Amino acid sequence: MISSQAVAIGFGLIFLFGSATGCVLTDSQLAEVKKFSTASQGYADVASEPIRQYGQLLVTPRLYDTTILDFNNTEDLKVAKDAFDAVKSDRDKFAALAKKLKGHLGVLDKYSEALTALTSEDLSKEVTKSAEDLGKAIDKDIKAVNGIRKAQGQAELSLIGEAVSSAVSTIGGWYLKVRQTELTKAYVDKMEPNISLIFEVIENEYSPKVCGQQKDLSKRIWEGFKKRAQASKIPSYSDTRAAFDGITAVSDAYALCTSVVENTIAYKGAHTALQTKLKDKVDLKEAIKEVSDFGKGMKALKDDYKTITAIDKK
Amino acid sequence: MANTERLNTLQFVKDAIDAVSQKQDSIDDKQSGEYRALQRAYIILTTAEDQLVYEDMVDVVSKLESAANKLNDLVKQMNKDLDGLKTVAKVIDKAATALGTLAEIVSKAASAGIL
Repeated sequence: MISSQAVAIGFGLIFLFGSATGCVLTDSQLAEVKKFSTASQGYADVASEPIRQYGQLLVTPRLYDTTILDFNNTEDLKVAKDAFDAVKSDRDKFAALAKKLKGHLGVLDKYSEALTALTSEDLSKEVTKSAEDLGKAIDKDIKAVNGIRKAQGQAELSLIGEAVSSAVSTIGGWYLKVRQTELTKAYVDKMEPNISLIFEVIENEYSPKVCGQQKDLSKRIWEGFKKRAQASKIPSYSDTRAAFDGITAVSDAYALCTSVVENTIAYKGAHTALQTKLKDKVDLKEAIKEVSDFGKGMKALKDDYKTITAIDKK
Repeated sequence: MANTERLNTLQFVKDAIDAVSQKQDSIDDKQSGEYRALQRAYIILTTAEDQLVYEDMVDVVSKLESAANKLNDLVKQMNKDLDGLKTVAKVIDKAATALGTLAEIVSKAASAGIL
C-alpha cells in the first residue's frame, strides 16, 4: 500500500519536473559544448609560447654579433662582455613575460574546465548514488520498525526504498539538467563579449607585435652568420649549421605564432556559433562547423607546440 | 614610452641597424677599426631593438591582463554555481545518513525494550 503511494507520488513529481525539460539541452547540443571545451583546453600554453620563443631565438644572432669583435681590444671586449651578459637576462625576461601571459590567459582554460563540469554527467551520477543510499537507509528504518511490529503481532510494512530511490534520482537528475542548461546558456552568453575583448587584443596587437617581430629575427641571424663568414673567409660547418637551425627555428616559431592568431579567430567564431546554437532546444542534425574547424585547428596547433617545445628541451 | 612613440623609435632603430649593416658591407677590410666600431654600434642597436620589442610585448600582455580580469570574475561565479549544483547530491546524502542513524536508534531502542 505504502509502496504504491510512494511510487505514485514519485511519478507525479517526475511529471512536474518533466514539464521543465523543454529547456534542457539535447545530447547533440551537449556534445558540441564538450567538443568546444576540449578544443579550447591548453590555449594559454600555446598562446604564450611565441613570447618565450622570441627570447630563445634572439640568442643565436646576438652571440654571432660578438664573435667578430677583437677580444684583444679593450673597447671591443667590453661591448662583447656586456652583450654576452645581456643575452641571458633578455632571454629570461621574455620567458618571464610568457609565463605572466600564460597566467592571465589561464582564465580561458578555467572557463573550459567549468564548462566541462557544467555539462558533465558526473553530477547526475552522484545524485543517483546518493538516492540509492537514501533508498537503502529508508528500508533499513522500515526493517527496524518491522522488527518491533512483528514482536507486537502487527502486519509488517512494505519496503519502499527502491521506489523512493528511483523517484529521488529521477527528480534530482531532472533538476540538475534544468539548472545545468540554465547556467551553461547564461555563462556562454556572459562570456561572449568578454572573450571578444581578449581576442581583439590578440588579433590587433599580438599579431604584429609578437609574430611580426619574430619574423625579423631571420634577417638578423643571416646578417650575423654572413659577417662571421666574411670575417673568417670560409664559414665553418658548425656556424653554417647553427645559422640554418636558427633560421628554421624562427620559421617554425613564426608559423606557430600565426597559427595562434588564426586559432584565436576560430575560437571566437566557435564560441559565437555555440552561443547561437544553444539558444533553443534543438536536436542538431550535424556538428557545428565552426566548433569542428576550431577543434581541428587547435589539435594541429597543440601538436606543433609539442614538437617545438620538445626540440627546445633537447 | 607611449605606444606610437615606441613604434617610431623601433622603426628608427631598425633603419639604423640596416644602415650600419650596409656600411659594413661596403668595407673590404673586415678586421679594420672602422668595421669593428660599426659592429659595436650594431650590437648596441640590436640590443636596444630587443628591449623595444620586449616593451611592446609587455604592452600587449598588460592589455590582455585587463581583459582577462573581467573574465576571471565570471569564472569564479561559474564555479560557485557549480558548487551549488553539487550540494544536491550532498543534501540527499545527508538525508540518507540521518535515516541510517534513525534505524540504529530504533533497533537499539527495540532491543532494550523501550519500544
